[in-house]
This record gives sequence, C-alpha cells and structure tokens, in this order.
Amino acid sequence: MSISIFNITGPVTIGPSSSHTAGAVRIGRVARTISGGAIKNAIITFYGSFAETYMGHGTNLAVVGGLLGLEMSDPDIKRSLDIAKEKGLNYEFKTAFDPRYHPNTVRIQASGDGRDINIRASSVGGGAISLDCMNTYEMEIPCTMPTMIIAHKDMPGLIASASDILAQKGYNIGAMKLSRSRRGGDAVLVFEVDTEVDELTLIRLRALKQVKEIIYIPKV
Amino acid sequence: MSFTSLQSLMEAAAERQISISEMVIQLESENTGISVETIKNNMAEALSVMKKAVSSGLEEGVISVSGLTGGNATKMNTYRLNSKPLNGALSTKAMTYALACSEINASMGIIVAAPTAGSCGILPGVILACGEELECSDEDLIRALFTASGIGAVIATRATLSGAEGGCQAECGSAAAMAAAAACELCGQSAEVCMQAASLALKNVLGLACDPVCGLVEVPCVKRNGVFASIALTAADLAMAGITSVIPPDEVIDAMYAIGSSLPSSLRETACGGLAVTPTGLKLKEKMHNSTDLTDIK
Repeated sequence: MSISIFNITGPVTIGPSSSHTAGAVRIGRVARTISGGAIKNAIITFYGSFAETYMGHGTNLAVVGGLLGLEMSDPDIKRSLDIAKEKGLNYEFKTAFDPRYHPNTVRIQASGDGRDINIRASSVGGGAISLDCMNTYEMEIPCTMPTMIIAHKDMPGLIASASDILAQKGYNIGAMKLSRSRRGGDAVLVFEVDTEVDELTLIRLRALKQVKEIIYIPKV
Repeated sequence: MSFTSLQSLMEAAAERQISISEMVIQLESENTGISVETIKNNMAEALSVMKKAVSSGLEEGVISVSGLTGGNATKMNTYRLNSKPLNGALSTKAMTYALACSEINASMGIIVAAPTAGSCGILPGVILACGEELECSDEDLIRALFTASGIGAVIATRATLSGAEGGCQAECGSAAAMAAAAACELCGQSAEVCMQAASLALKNVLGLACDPVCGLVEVPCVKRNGVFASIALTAADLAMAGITSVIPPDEVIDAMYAIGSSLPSSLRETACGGLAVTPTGLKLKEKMHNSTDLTDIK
C-alpha cells in the first residue's frame, strides 16, 4: 500500500503524542460518525498504555474532543471537557486490562441523537487508527477510506451481488475483507471504497437477501 | 511506483530529469489522485504551522501538561544570543527552534507530526534555521519539506517510523535523516548528497531506545529534539564535504529496522526500561499516579 507523504510530514495535530492524542481524536470522531448524531452519554474505557498515561497525554481530552466532532488540529481539544459540559455530553472514564488488545486501545459505549454504539478501537501510531470491534463484530478497519460493514448470513452470491451494485455506479473497491463465525452462520464483509457512496446504493445493498445490516462509515 | 527505496526514488527522478522534491510531488499526485497544486498548498500549510509552533515555543511560560518540561527553548535562546556557543550560530538556532516546537507539542499545542509528534521539532528546527541563515524563500523551504517527506516515506515503507516498533532510532532518527536531507536540499546539493546526509544521520543513532519517563512524550523527548537538530546538521556537513556512508542508504534503513526488531519491548515505548525505570524515573511515575493534579508531579 502506498503511503501519503502527508502522513509523514503530517498530520497537523494537537500534541503531545501521535498515538495517544492525535489517534485518540480520530477514534472519537469515528465513534461519532458511526453513531450518526450528537453524543449525549459516553463511557470511555482505556486499556494498556492508554490506561497508564491518558492524563499526561490528554488522551481523555482527545477522545471527548473527537466525540464532539473536533478536528485533531483544533486547539479547543485542550478544553474539550468544558465544551462537553456546555453541549450536554456526559462522559465517564474507566480503565481496564486485557492482554489480547493492542496497548493503545479504547472502548467507547455511547448513546445520543443517533444509534447506540459499542466500539473498540486502537491507535496504531502516527495518528492512524484501527477500528477493531463494533458491537459483536470483530474487524480491523483503518477508516482512511469510506467503509461499508455488511453484516450478513453466510451463503453464496453476496460478494458478487454487492460488488455488482457498486460497479454499476462506478464505485471502486480499494480493499475487501470477509470473515464468518462458521459455515452458514453470521458473517461480515467489509468494503473500503475510493469515493463516498450515495444513499440509494446503500438502500439497494441493504435490500440484498443475505444482508442483515449495513453500517456505513464515511471518510473521517 | 511507490516509496520502496531511496535508490529507486533517485533513479526515477534522474530518469524524469527532475529533482527529488519534484519526484515526491509527482508520486503523491499519482498515488492519491490529488492535484499538484493542492499538494503544494497542503505543504505550505504545514510550513505555516511549523513556523507558528516555533514562534509560540519561544514565548515565556510554555510548560507541558504534566509540568515535567518547559522553559528550555527560552534558556537556549537567551544563551545563544548572549554568549559565544561552541556550536555555531546556525546550529544553536536550529537547536533552539527544535526545542521550542517540541515544548509546544508537550503543552498540547498544534504541531506538524514530522514524522511523529514526539520528533516534531527536529525538521522545523533545521529548515527554519537554515532558511533564515541562508535567506531561503518559503518556496525553497516547501521544496525541502518534500525532499524530507520522500526520505520519511521510504523509511516508513521499508522499516518503521514508530517508537513502539523500532525505538527512538525510528522516530527521532528518521526525523534527523529527513532534516539532514532537507538541509542539503536548501544548500542546493544533489539528490545523492541528500541521501548520503540522511543515511549518515540515521546510521549514527542506530540502537537508540525509546524509554520515556512516566510514558510521556517529554523526558528525554523534548531535549532530544534539540540535540537531534544538531545531529542532522552535522550529517549534512559531512555529506556536503563529500563524505559518504560505506553502507548504502537503503541498507542503513534496513539495518535500523532489524535493530529495532531486536530491541526488547522494554525499550520500545513501554516505559519499562532505561530512563523510565531509573530511581528518579520511578519516583516521578509514583508521583504521577498519586496525583490528580498533574502539574504536581515534578
């Protein structure tokens, strides 16, 4: 995969840490995007290195700033907890331990004007993140491109039908991952697409007989 | 084509009869579909953020969120302006600017990760000091930033830029390599000399551990940015004198990666080794855990 030079001389971000601050803002923003509306209540659980150092790195300020929709270069992140109070976002910080998780992992359980969410994500360095779990679906999504998470029943024809619908509108799939719990059981197909996908296409995809639900994450 | 090696980057540039910085711009445009004009504007924005970070860092009263670091840039600035430093005018200016930017980072200010937030002072320190002393235009500085980011992109592709993966040689070492190449670019040097400078900078910090005290991006990170600005300039001077690395640049990058993989995890951004577990390091960690007001911990 080719690297953008603006991930080398960039991103423009609030300090002090690419992984513990910039990446944490991005995770908050992804959570807000998945929820699809203003967040009113959030339980934010830090694991590993995040749990050890979140205060010194401002990781707590960063995640809340992201949940409020602030950009990682927004100096207001420094006072995000005050802004949260002004905007009616109730937050709670917890720490936990799980040796299976990446050292910079956070779980966000949130509700508000949009859908309730329970996500787990990790900050993998340089401001980049990985969305690792959403509700019960395990995954590893960098969220750098518009992404579709298609929860479906494992049966023949889904990949062909879904990619056909995308191809008809000229959407190009940049990356794809497929996993299933067991043969014929619950499965998840993830498409990372070059350009944002329109609502009509999402409706057509949701109508496919194998599909249970589709969560669409625009580029954050 | 992508950023797989410094050698192929140089050869591709020679084939198209363009500079390394132009080659980097074209590659970015080809890989992302973004126009050359937008790419140049984005880098101009990065330069602007770097300048602001340096000037803010030179003001009084800049202190980190934890209180562990602050005031070093102003100390260095006063010293260089009022005495005869052993390092020359350009070098001490670069060190001062690198410290300033790094202290802004530690105080949750806005910086350009170059390539990471922890190493964010080195490249701006060097190019802004060179820019002033050599009377370069913003266009010159932006070109140098493209050269630097090309070096960094190769290191990211071939090795790593992350302290957690490769230790501080991967972060500050890479930043120094990027800055050394940028300095040579500003002096009008060839692509070969820029690569040699990058290689000499990186080669001389191989094995450097990432052992941050209290796990924060402050000790030794802030002062390391100051020291590494000077390392970058030293490597640039060696390369401009015609001194070359016996080990070719791409092999130096590969060696850095191999060494990083051999480093124990205690020396790769876990704060479980080195400076982080000195008696003072442990005392500071204890204070941080017991304190709800972080500015208490020093």
